Amino acid sequence: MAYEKVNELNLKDTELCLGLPGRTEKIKEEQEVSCVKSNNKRLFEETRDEEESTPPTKTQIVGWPPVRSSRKNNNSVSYVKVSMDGAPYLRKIDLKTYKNYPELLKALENMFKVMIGEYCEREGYKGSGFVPTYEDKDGDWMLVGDVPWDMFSSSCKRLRIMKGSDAPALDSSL
Amino acid sequence: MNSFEPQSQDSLQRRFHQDNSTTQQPRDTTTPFIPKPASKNHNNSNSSSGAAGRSFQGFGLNVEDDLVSSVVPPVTVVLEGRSICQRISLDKHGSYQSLASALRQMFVDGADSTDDLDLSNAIPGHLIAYEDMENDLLLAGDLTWKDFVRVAKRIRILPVKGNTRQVKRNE
Repeated sequence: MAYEKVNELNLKDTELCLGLPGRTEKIKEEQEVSCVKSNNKRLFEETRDEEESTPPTKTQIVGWPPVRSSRKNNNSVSYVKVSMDGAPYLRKIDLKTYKNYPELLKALENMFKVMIGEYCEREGYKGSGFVPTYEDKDGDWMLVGDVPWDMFSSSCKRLRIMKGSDAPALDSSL
Repeated sequence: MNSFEPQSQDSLQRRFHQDNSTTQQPRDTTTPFIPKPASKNHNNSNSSSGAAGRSFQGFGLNVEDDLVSSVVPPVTVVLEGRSICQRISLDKHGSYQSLASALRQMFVDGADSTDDLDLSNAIPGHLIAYEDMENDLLLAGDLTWKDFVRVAKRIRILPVKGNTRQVKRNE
């Protein structure tokens, strides 16, 4: 019985027949109403999918689409976002174009027109108004300069230049 | 009443399954990229005749890069202060310079073409930025052109002065 009902519903969907009210029973009318409702939901879902697709996670962005991913590996391109507190827009840099920390920091200074200063293992970038940090592959925010360059460049997913007001909090957390 | 709701759910699932069988990936897939550009072109051809021409171009192309670029939708161009937006198809341009020329013709009245045109001087007193899939606002020009076409979802033209007052980061 249930199977026959399901078949009947499927056939009705396939037919898309608009019968006269007098010819159909109440049960069929209600089924038709539910079909129309599901149709509307379907259209709404499609519209919503087209307008607002869910933003993919960072892992997908790195490897999306697969074709570009393989080509990207061949080209040795590694773009990461760079944001600075107070700046109206972000920048993107290719970490593969830099060989060491001084080159990277100089480029960041030129990009955002700020003075970052030199790194000191004991005090970090204290004395400067800006502190360069990066998000590693584990999602943790780290101070730029603590680890060897190769480890940093392979682990860095995103860069952020914090302002001096955030630096004391960063120092206390270290 | 209870007997009808599972049937409507069954019909929904069956319809979804039918869509799944017609060479479309299911909605719950993690990657947002649809690997069938022909179906996307077909959807575009329903909306406007211009897209129909593009769908025919899409069918004839063999290179995967071109197939990817042929399904890039037009992006919205927003000039700060103007309420009416415009749209531009990035796949019809091959370089940042071509984009700069198009934007200049869009927004600068009586614009004549110059040889040293680029993004920094396309529209006097403004800079060209874009929003990506994470809704971050980035300056246009850092990426290669192909990567820019792939990740740019909206182009936003910002006035240069008053730069520091407009903080638009979502963190």
